[in-house]
Amino acid sequence: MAIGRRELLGLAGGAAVGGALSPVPWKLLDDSAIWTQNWSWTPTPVRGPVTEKFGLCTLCAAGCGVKARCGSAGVFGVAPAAEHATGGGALCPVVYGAHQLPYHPRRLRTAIVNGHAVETKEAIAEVARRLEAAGAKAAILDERPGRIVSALYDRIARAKGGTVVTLAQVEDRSLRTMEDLAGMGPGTLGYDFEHAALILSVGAPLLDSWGSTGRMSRLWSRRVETGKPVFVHAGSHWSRTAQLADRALILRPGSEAALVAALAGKLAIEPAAEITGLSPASLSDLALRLREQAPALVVGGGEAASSGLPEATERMIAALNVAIGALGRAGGIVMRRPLTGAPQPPQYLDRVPDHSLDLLVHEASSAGIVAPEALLRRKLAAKGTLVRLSAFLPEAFGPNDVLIPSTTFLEGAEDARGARDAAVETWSYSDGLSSVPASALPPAEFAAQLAEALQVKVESYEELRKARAAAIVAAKRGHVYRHAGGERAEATDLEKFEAAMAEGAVWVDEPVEPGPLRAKIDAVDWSAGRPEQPSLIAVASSPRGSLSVLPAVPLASKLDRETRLYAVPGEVRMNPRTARELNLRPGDSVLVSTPFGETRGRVRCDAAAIPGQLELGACGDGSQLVLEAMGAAEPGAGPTQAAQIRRS
Amino acid sequence: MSATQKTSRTPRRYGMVIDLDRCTGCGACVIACAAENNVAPGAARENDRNSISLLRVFTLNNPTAAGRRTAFLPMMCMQCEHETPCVTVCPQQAVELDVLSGIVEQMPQRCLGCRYCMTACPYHARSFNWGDPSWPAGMEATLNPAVAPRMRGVVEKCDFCQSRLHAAQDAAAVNGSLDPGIYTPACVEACPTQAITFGDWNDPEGALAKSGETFAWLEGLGTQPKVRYRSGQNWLHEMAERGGAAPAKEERHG
Repeated sequence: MAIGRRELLGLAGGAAVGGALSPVPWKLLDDSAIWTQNWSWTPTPVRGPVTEKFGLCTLCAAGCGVKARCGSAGVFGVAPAAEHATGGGALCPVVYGAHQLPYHPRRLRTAIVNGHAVETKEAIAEVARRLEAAGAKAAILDERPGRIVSALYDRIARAKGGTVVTLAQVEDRSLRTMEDLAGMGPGTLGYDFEHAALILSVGAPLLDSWGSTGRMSRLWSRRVETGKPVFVHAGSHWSRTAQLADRALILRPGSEAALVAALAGKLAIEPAAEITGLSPASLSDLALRLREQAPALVVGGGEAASSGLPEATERMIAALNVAIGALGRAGGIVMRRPLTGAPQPPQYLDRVPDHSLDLLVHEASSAGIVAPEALLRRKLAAKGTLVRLSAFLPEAFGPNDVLIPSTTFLEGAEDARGARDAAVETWSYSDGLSSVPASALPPAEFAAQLAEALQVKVESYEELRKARAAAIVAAKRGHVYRHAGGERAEATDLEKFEAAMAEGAVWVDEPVEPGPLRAKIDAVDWSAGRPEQPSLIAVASSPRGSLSVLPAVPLASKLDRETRLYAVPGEVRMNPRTARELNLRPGDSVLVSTPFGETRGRVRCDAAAIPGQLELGACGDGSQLVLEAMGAAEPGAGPTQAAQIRRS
Repeated sequence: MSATQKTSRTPRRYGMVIDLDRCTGCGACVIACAAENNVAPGAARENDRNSISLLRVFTLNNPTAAGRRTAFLPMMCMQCEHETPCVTVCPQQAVELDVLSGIVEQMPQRCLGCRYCMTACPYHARSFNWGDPSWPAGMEATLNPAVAPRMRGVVEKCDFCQSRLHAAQDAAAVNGSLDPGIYTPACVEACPTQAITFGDWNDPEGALAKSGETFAWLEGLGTQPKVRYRSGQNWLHEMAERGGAAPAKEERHG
């Protein structure tokens, strides 16, 4: 038999088909897959002894106590410090993954000036030069005022004629208005939720990582056990707090002022009901409860990922608190002593005139504070410089910007003043539990190097810390709580005080005995306009603590994209009915526009979403555009925005 | 290990009671669980269907007008005790019910990745590793040294933080005891409202016995889950009975 080309080709083809139909290649494929399962690309954790150390969470100003589990390679787990006075054995969700932040792919590893990588010393010299030139038109943005490094910022700014400013966080917004009306300085009032019988939140996300998580969680647990305090939420959208509250009143967007005026008896129930969209009976009932279910208090402020209520509405809320007797009463808004040894609290950035600064030094070493980029830029003059001390590359930076790498979670020495809403001041410090990368500067080191470059004489961080400890002990007030066993001791001996604090203890001031306080509420304007009724509103959603100009904690993907517990960044979540009305289908690319900006996303339909409401995920990359669209940089823009949506 | 094997200590039946009235749906348990068990952060392509989540929190909406509008349902492996579906179907004996702890254990080294157990699990509490776990460069330093990351091609699930159980056993052994006692899984430690109680169902004086009236999700299946819930809201009891535990479903239309 002659074997020709045709036969050879037939044999080869038959062998190929027969081989593919036999188990051999599939067995080989399977075996090689199993074989490669254990190849070295599956990481092996570094074994070794495990220790527990106490530190401070620096994702916001509250400074909750954390118990870090440390192995040979560094911190591998975070747990709450059970007895910590601020944290109270609870932490925000993202803190449990915050120990991964030092290794974030967007970690800033070199200083950048005008778009070029430079040595950190050169960058600081450049900042000093520009700060000197800006003089009174320079400001330092201290996101967490009251720390020891705040004293250094204060000295530097004063020496060069500049100012120190801070951001009005969601907890600040109502308190600062009350402080203004009462003629009291910033940081002198706090909420005494623990003795309240009824808490009315007007748009405030009290049950969604507001204030310190531990405090609100304890309150929530107590409410489940005893029925007190009663949470009533009035807001213009179904927020998480509205979902959990004992009673939720969903108002027409922008009608908060009418609600508050009606509750204060300054607006008749019927017109208020018409403006707010609530029933007259529910309004009357709430007004009655506020007076009879004493002690009650009202909290405003709006959502964290959007702007607060208009100042006029905040003034009404303050006046309502005075009217129901909440000011200066246990279970209401109480006075607290200023933190011993801390500098004068700075003014708020949003109150600085627009385009008035030539230089803004933004200490963004905390990864979880909401700093709307648009607000920072608006305060700068046309060719102003934004200097950012940050552990991460921001989403965008301008041609004149200076970036200096900083430490992040559990790296380097830090101290914390405590939660802004607390009824008493607290103070704690930690020397850092992770090693500081060579390129990163802790805030104190940054301030010291800047002072040196400016030839401003300042004490060292250690000296200032000792001086504050000595001042607290000399004041003979308050107690020190130690983590181990939850021991409580008097703060009377400096040596013992410092030893306890070095182990991660927290000093808690004595509460001021509640007493009558006065506030000028005669001038409060009670007129409540009739807001327009948009057919569509936009709201921002985010697990607090991961929302900022900085990237999110890597494991935060478990909360949004992987479990759908929060809105996914880059998605526009809406009710299927709303989508049908808008002729949109899941997965459609859309452009959401509001009076303040635009943001793009993909439609996601969810039967749990409220009809007529667009939920924008504001977490991680892209969150700045959402913040801008939500008017977060516009004081008083409100927690919801009228929105329009179209395919893009 | 067979159920009749004699042991030198009294077997425990570890379990949980989750108070749905306390849960605020914050998700602290979800992240704490992932960090403790060396679950890698989700890659860009991962979603609620193909990611690794040993513990999920579902949002439940009240279908009736009465009561609270929303509740949050933390759901992990329910550690079924009777005819455990995943144990029954596993062809590799990669899933076992440990008689000393009552924990349904998953052994990735034995798993061949057939995913029968995922199909059998009535709670969808199992995840499949579609790819090798990977962390950004350097982030491997944050891995829990007591937990080995699972390889591609195997199923994984909640095991009540076995590494913590082993640590408790080691600590007990140092003191001359074989009984690890009641340890604390990561989700229990992280819950800011103490909504999750962990204990031993065999202990008549323990925290679980004192939890009051509890109910299981899909009790009618008869698998006797050791993770039970409590709530004063009737609509949640009704939803648990009829198995309406699915997360807020995406409604397709058009």
